[in-house]
Amino acid sequence: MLTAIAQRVGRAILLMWFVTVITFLTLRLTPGDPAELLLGPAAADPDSAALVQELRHTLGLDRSVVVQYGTWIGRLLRGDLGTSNQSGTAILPTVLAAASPTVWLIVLSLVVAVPISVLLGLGAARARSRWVDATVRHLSSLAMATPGFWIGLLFIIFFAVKLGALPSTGYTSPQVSFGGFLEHMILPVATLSIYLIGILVRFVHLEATTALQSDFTRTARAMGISRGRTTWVYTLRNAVLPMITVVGVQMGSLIGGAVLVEQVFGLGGLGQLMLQGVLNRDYPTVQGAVLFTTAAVVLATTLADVIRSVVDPRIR
Amino acid sequence: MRHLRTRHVTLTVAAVALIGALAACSSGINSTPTTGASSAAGTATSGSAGTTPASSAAGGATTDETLTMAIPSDISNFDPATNQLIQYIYAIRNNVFSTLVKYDTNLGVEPDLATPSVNDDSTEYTFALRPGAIFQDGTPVDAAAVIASLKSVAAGKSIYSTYLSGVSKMTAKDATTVVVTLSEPNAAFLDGLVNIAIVAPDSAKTVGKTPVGSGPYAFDHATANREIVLKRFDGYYGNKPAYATIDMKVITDPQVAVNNLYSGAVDAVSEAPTSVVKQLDTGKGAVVAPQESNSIAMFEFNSSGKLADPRIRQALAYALNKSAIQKIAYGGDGTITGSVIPSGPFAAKVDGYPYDLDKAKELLAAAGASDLTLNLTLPSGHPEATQAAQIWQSALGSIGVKLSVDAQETSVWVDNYVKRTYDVTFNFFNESGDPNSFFNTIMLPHLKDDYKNPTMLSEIAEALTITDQQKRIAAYATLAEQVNEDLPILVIQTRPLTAITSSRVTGLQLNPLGWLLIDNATPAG
Repeated sequence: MLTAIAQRVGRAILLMWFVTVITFLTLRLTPGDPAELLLGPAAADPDSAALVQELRHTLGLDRSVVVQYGTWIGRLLRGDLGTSNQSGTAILPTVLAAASPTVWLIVLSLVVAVPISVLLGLGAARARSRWVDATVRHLSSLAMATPGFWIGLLFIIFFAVKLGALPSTGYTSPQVSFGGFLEHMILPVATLSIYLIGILVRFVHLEATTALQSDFTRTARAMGISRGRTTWVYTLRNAVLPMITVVGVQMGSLIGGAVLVEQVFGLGGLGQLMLQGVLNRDYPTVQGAVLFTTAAVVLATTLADVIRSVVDPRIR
Repeated sequence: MRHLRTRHVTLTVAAVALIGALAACSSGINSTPTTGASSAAGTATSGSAGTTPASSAAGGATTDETLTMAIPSDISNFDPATNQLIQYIYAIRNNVFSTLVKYDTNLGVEPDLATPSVNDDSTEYTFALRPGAIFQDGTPVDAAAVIASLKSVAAGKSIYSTYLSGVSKMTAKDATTVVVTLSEPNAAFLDGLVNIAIVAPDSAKTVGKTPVGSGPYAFDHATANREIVLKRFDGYYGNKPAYATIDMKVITDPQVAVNNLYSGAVDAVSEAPTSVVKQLDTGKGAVVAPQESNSIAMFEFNSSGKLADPRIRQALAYALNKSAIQKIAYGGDGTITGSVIPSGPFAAKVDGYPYDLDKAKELLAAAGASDLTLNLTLPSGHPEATQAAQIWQSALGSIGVKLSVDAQETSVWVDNYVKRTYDVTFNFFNESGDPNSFFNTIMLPHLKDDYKNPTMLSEIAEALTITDQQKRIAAYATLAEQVNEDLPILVIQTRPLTAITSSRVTGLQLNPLGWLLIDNATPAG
């Protein structure tokens, strides 16, 4: 067991190193020059070439990519993510501040989506009706296919503009005001949850249908255990356990979905930080944010595997 | 010595294009070679001694209200010596900082922290500082602080340092008088100063993160990609603004911003594209626009290689259906023109080229251009540019010119723009009251590179030294005609500039550069 966990952690570190290399290279290979962007229109003047060069030197961009990478990774190992090309501010606190709404958005969406998906999926499987099955399948497809951006806009128009019941933009930290935090998170969480429910409900439905038709369910019923207890204890357990892995695997796309939702509701999370960083060719910011996101995804999937192996003896 | 009048001393902020992010300021004191003419200082010369430094504000009662404003992108660098973002200028620089002189709403230059006066040969400017002005950290705005600030900008690496490149000496005559000596006359000097904020000396090293100036609002806090909050500065020397707090929310999508305006989450949207403005629910929001726009949309040619022959460029101009572009891309707004100086005190009336495909074909034949294939680049995120390019592409296709349209992410576009790896590119430019901004920022790089025209180069330099306003206007009118004739740049029209405000706010204004002015904003009712 410990060996398996150690291997998993080793693979995770290797993966993260690989991501740092890919991110670093991709940014450098992408057209666009941070120095030109910083200098603005003056960069177009042929006489400004020296100024552009000086700025590139100041930013360390005139060194070879290998040296730039070595410098960055050296700092990283000392816990220093560097400073922004644009503002000169330290990356780590910026990334942590931006991560707060993103992490809360994902966590709360899971808290909402998982139980709803289980109830819907299991309930539909238990109904054993072709119509219910089809309805669940189609609705989950619709939920997955509908862009979060569009759903978010609809929510704003209805709940914020028409009803005036909820705020349409911004984020309040739970430490500042828990009520304000909840108020600001309801619509973003609802938006992301719809997408998540679309994925999970279909999965739970499939697993539950299989479990309901399995030998152990039939045996339980034959032993006189009630249908309700069979469903909500035995079937539920077998249907839900694999979901741990699914959630872990979905973490990447969940962050992708969160990026769009953040944009609509002005949460100012990791997605906006990365997007702004890419547009400004702010290499250190993008590298820091991508590294943080990768670490989060790797951690989530590793944790999912570990939890799964702990709670499900078959995996071991 | 005579005092400078408050009206239009040229200014030169220019938002070069595209750079959606780099709506930059341009112009420059001495980046243009000058001819060494003996007199100078151009338009800023006449009269009105002792003009009272203008106070910037509403003059009404202060309130405890918050003005919440949607801005289209985050501002991460608060250093006024380096940040050229247009939203930085109107959101932070104009509110947190003061400048020695500033624009009035029509881009005339008026005193702010100081009343300027100039000697007879226009090489020595004396700035009488406003008594009692203090920075938000409580330190006085004195001559030493002003000089330290100017020297810091002059020594920096940014476009703003070019405004001071002709300065040979800065001295403190006394605690409230600064004397700036120029190596040669420059009619656009005060215009340049409009862009140079005076920073509290003690904050010089941290200004990028925590700006401290002497403007009507003090920086309170910022959360990356979320919001920037300013608080009214009670020690401000001018009239106190009505709003106690300015809360700027970063909302990148304009339609989302407008929905937030409808819901009451924001009171104003600082920049709104035509597509959003045309769908505005006028019961819930009102359009704010300047009386006239000093922003031009244009196509810039790479006047070397395929397009070296001016007849080919003229043919392309005849194939540009500006009326269709105005109707489709700009919703019927803006003014069609051929002038690079479409409005303001230097306005030059140039009609440009009518839409005439026969004439275009004739010119192409005369130039011997057949099977012409051109590449047009444009920055993504500007649907009007794409629409204009497509309209042009269609017309050119009918006369045998193949135009490929390449929408590029802004950073990529900037890189190609700087390296001039295009045949034609879309650009826009927010031009100050002084046309030097356009010629210095947009024309000079072409003149030094792909469009060789020594005559125009020397005329641009000379225009900067002319002291007589009428003669200067005439000089720039001639230059505008030359640009239209030779076509290194093809002007399409002026760009509509718009912000949106809710009925909860009155008094918001937009100047011809697209800067949202909140000085006079007050809560409605």
